[in-house]
Parts: sequence; structure tokens; C-alpha cells
Amino acid sequence: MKLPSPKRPARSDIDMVPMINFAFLLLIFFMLAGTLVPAQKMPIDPPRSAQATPADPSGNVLLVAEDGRVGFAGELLLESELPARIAQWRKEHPQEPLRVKADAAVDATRVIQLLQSLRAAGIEHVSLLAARGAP
Amino acid sequence: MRIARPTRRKNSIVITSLVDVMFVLLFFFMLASSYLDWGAVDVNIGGGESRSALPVPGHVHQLQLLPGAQLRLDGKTVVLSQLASTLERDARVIVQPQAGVPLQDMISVIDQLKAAGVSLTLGRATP
Repeated sequence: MKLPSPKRPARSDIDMVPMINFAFLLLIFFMLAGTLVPAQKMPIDPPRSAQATPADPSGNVLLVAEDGRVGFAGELLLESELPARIAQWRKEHPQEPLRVKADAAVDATRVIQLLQSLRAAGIEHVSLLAARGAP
Repeated sequence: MRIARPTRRKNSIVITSLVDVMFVLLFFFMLASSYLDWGAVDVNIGGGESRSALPVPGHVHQLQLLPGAQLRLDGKTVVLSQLASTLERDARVIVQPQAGVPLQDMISVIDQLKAAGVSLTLGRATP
């Protein structure tokens, strides 16, 4: 008896080219439309503001997390270390306004109390960072 | 004479590995990019330890922020939407949030004040 030879699986004839084209389009879109941000030590969900002027959120930024923890330029700091650190930064950048990235849910008095403690370090004007758009 | 027909070359480039790398890149950029449009709200900080002793000319309004999005301008309750019309242009306002007011509420008030064109300073309400 002659057994039928097992059928070879059909060659996959799915045309990959349109899918690749589309995926390249997406890749280029995501590369150009987004900005890469370094990983943060603490998650900060910024407040929204309609009146904010465009600003750069990276670099030497004072961070205030929702639970009140503070950081500067990406590293966590104790509150007692902060004035010395800010004073040193102020010496290197005498003109630049201090940028403050604080969580939308943090107590406003906490932020103001921190900033008032930095007046001795020469901080009188700050830029509060916010996401632009109506809240 | 026979002319040999040009033989069609088989497409021998394997695109699978290329597609794999491309998908890795695609996922990387999808997950690692941030689309937040960042902005800055410039404010002055008042009070604190090294109080500058310059006398402030003109009348300074005190705007207290109470928990629950209540506002008190010089002791009188005001509504956020009417804040801009209550204040004269070139007014000076000290924004004083009380404990328990989230930062978002303060930024919303500052937005209204900035739209009204007043100059503002941050302070803390004395209990």
C-alpha cells in the first residue's frame, strides 16, 4: 500500500512588506514626537497650568515628591542637606531661576516652607514646573 | 545563437532579523518617551528667614487659600472665577495657602492671578 507522503507545510506567503513599512512609520513617529527622559528617583505627577511658559524639566531641578521627600538634580537629599546643596548650585549659576518640580498633590505649604528655607541660599524667585494645558 | 534570458535573482536577504531589531526599537521608543509639555510658572518667594527689609509701596492684598478650594481675599470670601475682576490691574497679592491645600489648587489660583496681570508673592498663612 502506498501511503501519501505527508504534506509539506505551505510556505508562508504573508506579505510582510506593508507591515514593516507601517512599523517603520510608527518607529520614526515615536522617535521624533517623544523626548527621552532619564528615570526618576521618585515619581512626580506635575500640576497642570494654563499660564505656564515653555520650560525644560531636566537638569538641576528641585524635586518634591507627594510624600514630601526632596531631591535635587535627580538625587534624593535630606531636608537638612538641601540649603548647602542649593547654595553651592547658586554659586555656580548666579542668574538662573531655580526650577521646582513638585507633585500636584503635595501640600502647598510644604513647598513654600521649603522655598522659604532656601531664601538664605539666595533663592527669591523660582519657576514651578507644571504640565501646560487646562487643569 | 541563443541569448540567455536573464535569470530572476531570488530575494535572498533575510528581513526577519531586521524586523526583530526594528520592533525592539519601536517598543523602546514607545515606552521610554515622554509626551508631557512642560512649562514653568515664575513666582516670588516672600517671608522666610532673610526677609528683605524693603518697604512695599502701595496696597498689598492677602489672598488666603483654604482647604476645599475656598479663597479669602483680605478676609472676604471670593470665588475663583471672580478673582480677576475683583482685583485692580497692577495689584500686588501675597498668596498664602493654608495647610492641607494641594499644590494644584495653588497653581490654579496663580493661573487666574497671572491672567489678571497682578504681581504675586508666595507666603504662608500665619495660624
